[in-house]
Amino acid sequence: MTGLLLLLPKATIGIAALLALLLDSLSGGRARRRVVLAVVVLLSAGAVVAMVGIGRTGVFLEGALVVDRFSIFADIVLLVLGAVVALAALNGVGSDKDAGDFYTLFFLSLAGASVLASAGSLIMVFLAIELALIPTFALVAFRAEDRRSFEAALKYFLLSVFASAIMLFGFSLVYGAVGTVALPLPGDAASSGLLLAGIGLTLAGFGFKIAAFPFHQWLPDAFEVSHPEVAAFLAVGPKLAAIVALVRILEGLAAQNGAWTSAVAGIAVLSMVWGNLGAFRQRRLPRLLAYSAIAHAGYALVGLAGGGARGMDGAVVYFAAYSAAVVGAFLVVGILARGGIGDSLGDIVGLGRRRPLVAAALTVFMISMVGVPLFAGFWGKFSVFLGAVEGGVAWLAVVGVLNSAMSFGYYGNVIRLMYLEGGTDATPPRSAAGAPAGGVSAHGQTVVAGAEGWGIRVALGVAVAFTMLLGIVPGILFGALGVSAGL
Amino acid sequence: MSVVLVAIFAVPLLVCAALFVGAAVASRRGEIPTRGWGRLAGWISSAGALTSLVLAVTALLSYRAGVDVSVSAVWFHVGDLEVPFSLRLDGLQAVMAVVVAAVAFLVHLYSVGYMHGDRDVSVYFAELSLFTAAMLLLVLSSNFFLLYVAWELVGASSYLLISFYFERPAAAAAGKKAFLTTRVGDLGLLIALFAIVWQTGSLDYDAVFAWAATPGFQGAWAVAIPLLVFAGAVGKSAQFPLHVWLPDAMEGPTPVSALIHAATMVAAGVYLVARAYPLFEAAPVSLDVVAYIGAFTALMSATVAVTQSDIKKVLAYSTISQLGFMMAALGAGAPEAGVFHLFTHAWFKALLFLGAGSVIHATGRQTVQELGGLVRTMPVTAWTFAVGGLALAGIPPFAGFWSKEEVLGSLLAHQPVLAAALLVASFLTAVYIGRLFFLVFLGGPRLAGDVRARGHESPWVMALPLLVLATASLVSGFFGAGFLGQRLQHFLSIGAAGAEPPGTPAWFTALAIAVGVAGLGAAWLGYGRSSQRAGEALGFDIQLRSTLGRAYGVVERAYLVNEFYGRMVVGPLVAAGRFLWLGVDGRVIDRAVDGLARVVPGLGGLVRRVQSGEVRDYLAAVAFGVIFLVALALGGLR
Repeated sequence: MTGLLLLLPKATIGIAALLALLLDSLSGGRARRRVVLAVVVLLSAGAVVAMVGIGRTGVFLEGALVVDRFSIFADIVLLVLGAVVALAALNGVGSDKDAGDFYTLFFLSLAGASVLASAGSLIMVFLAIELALIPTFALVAFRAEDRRSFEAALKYFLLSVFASAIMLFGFSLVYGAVGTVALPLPGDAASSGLLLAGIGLTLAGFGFKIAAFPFHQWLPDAFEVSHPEVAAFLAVGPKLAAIVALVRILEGLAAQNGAWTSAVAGIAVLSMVWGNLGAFRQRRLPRLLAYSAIAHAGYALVGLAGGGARGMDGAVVYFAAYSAAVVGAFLVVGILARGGIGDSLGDIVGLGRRRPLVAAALTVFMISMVGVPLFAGFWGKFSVFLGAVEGGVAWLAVVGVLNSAMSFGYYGNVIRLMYLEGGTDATPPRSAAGAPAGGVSAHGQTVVAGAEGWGIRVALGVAVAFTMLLGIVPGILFGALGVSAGL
Repeated sequence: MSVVLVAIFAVPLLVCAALFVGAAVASRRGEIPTRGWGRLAGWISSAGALTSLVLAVTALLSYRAGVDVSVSAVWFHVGDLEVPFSLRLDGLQAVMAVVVAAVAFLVHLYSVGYMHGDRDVSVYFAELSLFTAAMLLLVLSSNFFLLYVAWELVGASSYLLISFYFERPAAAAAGKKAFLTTRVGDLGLLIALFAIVWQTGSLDYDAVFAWAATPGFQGAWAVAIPLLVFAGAVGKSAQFPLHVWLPDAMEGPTPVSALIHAATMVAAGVYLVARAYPLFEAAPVSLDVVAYIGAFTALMSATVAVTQSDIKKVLAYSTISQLGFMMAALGAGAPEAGVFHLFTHAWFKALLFLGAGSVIHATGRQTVQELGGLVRTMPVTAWTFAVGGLALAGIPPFAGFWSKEEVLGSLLAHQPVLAAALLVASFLTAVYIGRLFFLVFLGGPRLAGDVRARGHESPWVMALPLLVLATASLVSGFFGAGFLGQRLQHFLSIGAAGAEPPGTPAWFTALAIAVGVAGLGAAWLGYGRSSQRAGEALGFDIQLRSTLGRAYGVVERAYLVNEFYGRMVVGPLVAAGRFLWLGVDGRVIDRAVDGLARVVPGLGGLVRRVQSGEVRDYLAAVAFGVIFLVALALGGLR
C-alpha cells in the first residue's frame, strides 16, 4: 500500500498526459478548458499526496526507481509547477486547436522530469532525461508562425543530442571503472583516469541540461522565441530533476570528491559571472531572464561544489526556491504578450501605472531573485552558500554573494523602469487579436486588463504567494526536503 | 509582557502593509491619490511610530525594573541547525530602540509638512514605516540571523527611499549605488554568519559570545570573523573605503536623510560592532583595524566637508566623519563612549538635517552660494540649527561636548596618535558647521531679486520636531555626564569589562573645548564677518582655492575616490559586459573557436544544413567545456 502511495504522484502526471490526448477530440473551447481544469485539480491533488509521503522511502523495479526525500521534494515542486503552467496556458496556447498536442507534450516532459528525479540507475537517468527533453524540442518549436521558433528548436535539438552523446559516453566510462550502473555508485572505487574522465563527461552532459556555462547557448534563443509558459517550465522542471539526478550520482563518488568539486566550482564561477554580465546587456525581458537563469544555475552549483550533504541539499533547494520567482516572471511576460504590451525593457516603462498589480508582482519576483531576505530566493542562496562555507570553499561563497550583489544592477533596473513615469506615453500597440478589452485609465493610456484571461492571473497569484510564503516560512521548503527530520 | 517587543516593530509593519494595500487599491481603481489622502497616510504612520516609541519606553522601563521581556520561538530548522525568531532587550538595545523610535516619530511628523503636496506620499509613508519596522527589528533581535534579515530589509527600504524621486536619474542612480555598495559590506557579514554557524552551530548572541570567550576561539577564523562583521559595519556606516554611497544618498527626500542617513541606519554599523564586541575583544588586532579605519574616515571626511557648497553634502560628510569618531572609540576599547556619541549624535544630526530640510522646503535652494540671511525670516529654524551646530562642534554644555570628550579621552588613553588626529578633525568640524551656519543664516541674500530665496518659517508640524530635537541636543549629553541618575555608559553594559574608563585629564578637556571654540572662531573670521556684505561671503573659499591650487579641487571632489572606483571597478565591469555581449553575439567566439569547430569530426556536414553559423560555434564552445571539465576532473588523479 505504501508503495502505491509513493508512486501515486507520478501516476497523476501520466494520467494527465493521457487526458490531454483527449483534448483534440473535443470540440469547443469550453469543453477543453473543463478538461484542463480537471487536470489542474488532479495535479494539485497529486502534490498533496506527495506531501503525505514525506519521510517515507521506497524502491521499485529492482532499484531502477527510487522514491526518497529528494524525489518526493522534486515531485511536489514539479506537480505544483505543472498545475500552474497548465492553468496559465488555459487562455493562451492551451486554447487553440493544437491544445491537445501542447498539453500532451508538456505532461510527457513533466513525467520524464519526475522519473528522472527518482532514477535509481545510470540507464534510468539517461532514459528519463531523454523523456524529459525530447517533448521540449517540439514545445520550443510550438510557435509555428514564427520561423525563429523553429530555428531555436533545431539548435536546441542539435546541442542536446551532442550533450546526450557526451553524457552517455561518460556513463559508459563510469560503468567501465566501477562495474555497476546502480545508484548510489560504490564509494570505494579507485580513482582511475577512466573514472575521472567519465565524471568529467557526465558533468558536461548535466551542464547542458541545467544550462551552465559553457553549455548554455541554447537557452537564450529558446526562452526568447518559445511561449512564455514553455519557458517557465524549461527554466525549472528539467533543471530541478537534473540536479537531483546529478546529486544522486555524485553522492556515491565520495572518494573522488576533490576531483568533481573542483570541476563543479569551475563551471559555477563561470556560469555566475557570464550569466550576470550577459544579463546587463539584454533589451528583452525573456533574454534577461535567460541570462539570469545561467547565473542561477551557477549559484546552485556553488552548493554542489561544497561537496557535503548540506551543499547538496542546498543545490536542490536552490532550484525550488528560485522556481516561484522565475515562473512568475515568465507569466508576467505572457500577460504582457497577450495584452499586446510587448516584452522589451522599453515596453515595461510605466507599467507600474498601467498595470499596478502585474508590476508589483514582477517587483516581488525580481527582489526574490536578487536574494533579499524574507523572499523565497534568499533561502536558496542561504542554503548553497552555507554549504560552500561548510565544505571549505568559502571563496566560492564570496564570489556567489558578490555576483548576487551585482545582479541587483539589472533586476533593479527592471523595477526602476516599471515605476518610471511616462516614458512611452503612446498607447501600447494593439494585439493582433483585435481591440483590447478594458478601458482607458485616468492618464489616457489604454489599459488592456483582462485580455490575458483569468487562468494566468490566478497562476500569477499563486507564484506571488509562493515567493512570499516560502520567504517568510522557509520551514515549508526545508521541511519538504526532509532536512528537518535530520535525514 | 513579552508581547511588547514584538509589538514595537509590528505596529509600523502593519501600518506599512495597510498603506501599500490602500495605494494598490486606489491605483487599481485609477484614482489619483489626493493630497488629503496623503496627509491622512502621514498621520496614520506618525501614530504608528508614536505607538512604537511609547512601547519602546515602556520596555526600557520594565527592563530597568528587572522584568524579562525577551521572546523566543523556533522559526525553522535546517538539518541540525535551529533558527530561532528571538527578541530581547538589554541596556544597549533598549537605548537604541528608544532612539530609533523617537527620531522616527519626529521625522514622520516633520514629513507630513515637508512632503505636503508631493505626489504619492502614501507610498512614501509606507516605505518610511517599513524602514522603521526593519530598523527596530534590527536592534531588538537576539540572534545574528534575525539581525541579518533586518539588516537587509533596512538596506532595501533605504534603497526605495533614496530613489523616491525616481524620475530624477540622479536619485535612481544614487539608490542603486547605495544598495550595491552596502551589499559589498553585507557580503562580509553574511560570510561571518556562515562561519559562525559552521563553527558553533548556533546564531544566538549569548551562545556565540560564550564561544568567543573560550580558548577554542583561535586561529584564522577568530581574526576573520570580527573583521568580516566589521566589513558589514563599514558598508552600512559609510566608513572608508565604502563611504562613497552616503553623499549620493542625499538625493532622497531630506527627512529621509535625517532618519536613515544620519540618525539610525548608518548608526547600525556602530551598533553591530558594539553588539558583537566580545568577538572583537577576543581578537585585539581587529580592534586596531576598527580604530584606524574610524579615525582615518573621521579626519578625511571632515576635510571634505569644509569644501562642500551643498548644505546636505556638508552634513553628509559630517555624518561620515562623526561615525568615524564612534568607530575609533569602539576600536580603542571604549564601546560605551562610542555608543554614547551615537546617542547624542542621533539627536543633533537629525536636528541639523531637518533644519536643512526646512531651509530647502522654504527656499527651494540648497547651495550656500544662493542662500543667506535666513535668520530674519526663519528664526526657529536658525536658532535650533545653531543649537545643533554647537552640539556638533563640541561646545559645552551641549550634548556633543560630553560624548566627544569621552571619545577623545578614551583614545588618549589607548591610541594617543589617533587622539591627535581626531582633535584636528574636531577643529575642522567646528569650521565647517560654523561656515554653514554663517553662510546660510547670517549676512544678506546672495542673489538680488530672488524673492523665494528669502524664505519663510515652516509650519508647526516641521517646527515642533526641530524644537524637540534642539532640547534633546542640549540634555541628551547629561545622561552620559551623570547629571540624570545612572550614567548611560553603565546602563549599556557592553562587552566583558564594563569598567570605568580612565578619567580624562583636565588639560585635555580644556584643549578639546579650545579646539572647538577656535574652529568656530576661524569660521567667523573666514565667513561670518564678510557675509555681512552680500556677494562677498564666499571670498574665503576663493582665497583658499587659489592658495591651495589643485589640492583644494582634489579635496572638494572627496579625494577622487569615486573617480577611482569608476575607473578601477565599474569601468572594467562595463567593458567586460560589452565584450561579453559581442562574444555572445557570436562575433568574438566566431573567430576564437573557428579552428576548433573543424577539429570536431563529422559535425561540419551536419551543421552546414542549418543556415546559421551559430550552431557550429555553440558546439565548439561545448567541446571546449568538455575538455575543460575533463581536465579539471583528471586534475584529481595525482
